[in-house]
Amino acid sequence: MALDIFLFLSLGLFSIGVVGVLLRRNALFILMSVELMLNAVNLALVAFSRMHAASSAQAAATGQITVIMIIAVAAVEAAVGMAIVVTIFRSSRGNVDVDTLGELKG
Amino acid sequence: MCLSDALALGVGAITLALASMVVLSRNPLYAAFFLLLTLLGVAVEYAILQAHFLAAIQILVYAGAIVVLIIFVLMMMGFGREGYQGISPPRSFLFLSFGFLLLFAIAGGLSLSADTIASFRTAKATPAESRFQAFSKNLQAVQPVLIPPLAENDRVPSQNPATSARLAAKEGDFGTIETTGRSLIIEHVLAFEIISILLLMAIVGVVVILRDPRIAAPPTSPSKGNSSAKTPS
Repeated sequence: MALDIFLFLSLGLFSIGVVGVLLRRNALFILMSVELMLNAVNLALVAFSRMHAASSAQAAATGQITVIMIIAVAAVEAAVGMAIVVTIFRSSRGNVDVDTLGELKG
Repeated sequence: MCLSDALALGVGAITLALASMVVLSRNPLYAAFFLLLTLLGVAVEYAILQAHFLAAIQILVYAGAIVVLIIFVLMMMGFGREGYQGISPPRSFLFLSFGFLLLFAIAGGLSLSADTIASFRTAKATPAESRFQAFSKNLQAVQPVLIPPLAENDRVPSQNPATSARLAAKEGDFGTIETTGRSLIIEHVLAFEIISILLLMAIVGVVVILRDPRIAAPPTSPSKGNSSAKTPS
């Protein structure tokens, strides 16, 4: 199996995520793009972990545990981010455009 | 190119197309569904890499929990058909060009490092052995410098010799539930516990963020000196 296929796929996903974070102004799209970027990093980690599998089983397992940790952090990030988006939605009457939300105080 | 390479390429191309649809679609609900398909594509890539446990976790946690949470919030808030919120063309051109710049920069770095790795493995790689085996053979030569191997008495103690034989995972065990689970609760138990504390903090944090400030203390305790939480409203 070729490692570079997975690395380039990870690169493509990460770039799409970065463009999404920069391009979209809706806070929900920004959250989804962040999820894409986290997935790209996970994919690169799993590919490297597979690469290490023959030489050191511990290194391979460490990569996978890191991915599990990142997935948990992504779940937490999605939950807290969604809570913040809902709070913004309530206080600004349906506007979740991050450009017009210049201040934290509602 | 073997079959798994072709599969990885095909699924990867589909995944990239779906991921760009996440960013480009107008309706946030469609974007959430495209995100779901993208995450499933990544799960297939994990399965091709033989990380089966992670593929299952990816489908369960990402597709099953996170995307459902996003869709739930979308439908509850009625974001519905909001559409583009007006991206001005110079701005989008600027950001797109930044994205492509990043893409080419990292791709250039990747191809450079690929050359380096290729020069590493020119020595012994017979055509019969796979690229991963060639990589790992070279890494074995490099690795004792980077990561010193654990001494025998530094390993996790276990009374049962059969268990310790199973603990020393072979390559065929890569990514199975048993190998990853053992590693999770034996060697990386600190990360496991940190995850639990993190989830607890997230639960409390979300409840605090989303609490309606108009609903203050319970009406049974109207006195001001009580110890109920004060909400900054």
